[in-house]
Amino acid sequence: MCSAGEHLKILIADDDIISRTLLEKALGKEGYEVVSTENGRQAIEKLTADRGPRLALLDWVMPEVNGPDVCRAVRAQHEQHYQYLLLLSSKESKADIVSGLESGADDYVTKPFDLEELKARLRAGVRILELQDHLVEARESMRYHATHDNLTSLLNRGVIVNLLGMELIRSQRENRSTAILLCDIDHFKKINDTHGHLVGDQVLREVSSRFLSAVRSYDFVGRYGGEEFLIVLNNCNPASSASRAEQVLRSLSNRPVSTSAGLLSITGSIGLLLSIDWAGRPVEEVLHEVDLALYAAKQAGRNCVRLAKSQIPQQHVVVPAIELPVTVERRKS
Amino acid sequence: MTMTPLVLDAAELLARVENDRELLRELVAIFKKQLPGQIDSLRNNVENGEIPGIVVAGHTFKGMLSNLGAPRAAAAAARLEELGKKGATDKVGPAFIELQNEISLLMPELESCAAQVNT
Repeated sequence: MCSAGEHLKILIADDDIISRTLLEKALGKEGYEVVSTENGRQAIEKLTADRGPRLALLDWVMPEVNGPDVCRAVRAQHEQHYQYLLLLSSKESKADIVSGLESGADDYVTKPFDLEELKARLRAGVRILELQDHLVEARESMRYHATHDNLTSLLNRGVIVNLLGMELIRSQRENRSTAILLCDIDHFKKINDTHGHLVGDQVLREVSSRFLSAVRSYDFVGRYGGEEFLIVLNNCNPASSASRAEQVLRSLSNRPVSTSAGLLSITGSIGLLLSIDWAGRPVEEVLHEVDLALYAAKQAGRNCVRLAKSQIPQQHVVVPAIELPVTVERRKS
Repeated sequence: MTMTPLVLDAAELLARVENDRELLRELVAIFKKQLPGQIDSLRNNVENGEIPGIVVAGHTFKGMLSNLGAPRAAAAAARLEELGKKGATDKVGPAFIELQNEISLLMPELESCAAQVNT
């Protein structure tokens, strides 16, 4: 019986048509989705295909490629989802069994096989596959939680800073520019104090979603801390970086955020830095400078973008304002 | 006292198909259909001394006949496979004839068995 009514796909690779037919019928009755082939080359193709069978019964002696070589080819793929391989053979010496298992097979059954024993061994294989799936799922969940912010599901601070470091090196090597945006929600503390932290969390989640929508799929968005977000725009033309930053800024203010406390209008402030102006500088220094640019945006009354200039690190160039839609009030909140 | 192996071990064959009468008929039909071509191919290999082909064919017959509950014919196929592996070209001819004889004895019993379960 397959697990929980699931139709687990199983490959039968055997050039003996009688054996193949017997297995097809018996395993079909057990609830498996049976796929058959009569030679080893086709078995490799099927097992290494996308969504290929997770279980396989492989005859040892087959045309073109034998069973042990099929096992070796499958194991060489290092697929994330483990495949349980069972060799069938009339070879029954200890050396043959050892050789078969060393090729990567999980189990070994001698022909002519006892059907009940074979089915029991396959059920053991299904249990191992289920266990492996649970382990992979747990590992992926841990990997996700180690790299993403729990509240917003954005990349967490460690990951976004690490990615920024790699992007700075890459952009310098390729003589391209990366735009770094440090964004802060204006007066966020007031939202928390007035409406409570649950509403504050709703705002953070919505802001994260808007930032993701405002950038390209290959840009990076991470939660830098509290209500601060770090956005890395890869390969961003310096001439268009200001308008890109304005787009990100507008994504916050162009419509109110729907929360359990009602609609809330929000704005943000952005410090912008172009890597081409800061070639070869370490990531810590770049972050410090973009933080100063963000501070300059706050000092300038918020709801605006300020560009960090390498030549004059303590001064910040005013980015020409882009006309916002008339329906949206550009508030200094 | 040593028991002579049966030409057809009907009890084992029925157990192997889990008493699925339809499946048994299907297997017998497949075997009858495959047999002439496989025998011709094996005969060619034997006549031309194609040892690798003899070994593979002997192995395939051994597996098929074992699954059909035919211990004597399976044993004859196993002997042919072994002689091929040893390169005993002078002995594969008689071993092939022995296999043909065993299959000749088997076929009526197999068909009779299929007919019995057919009723």
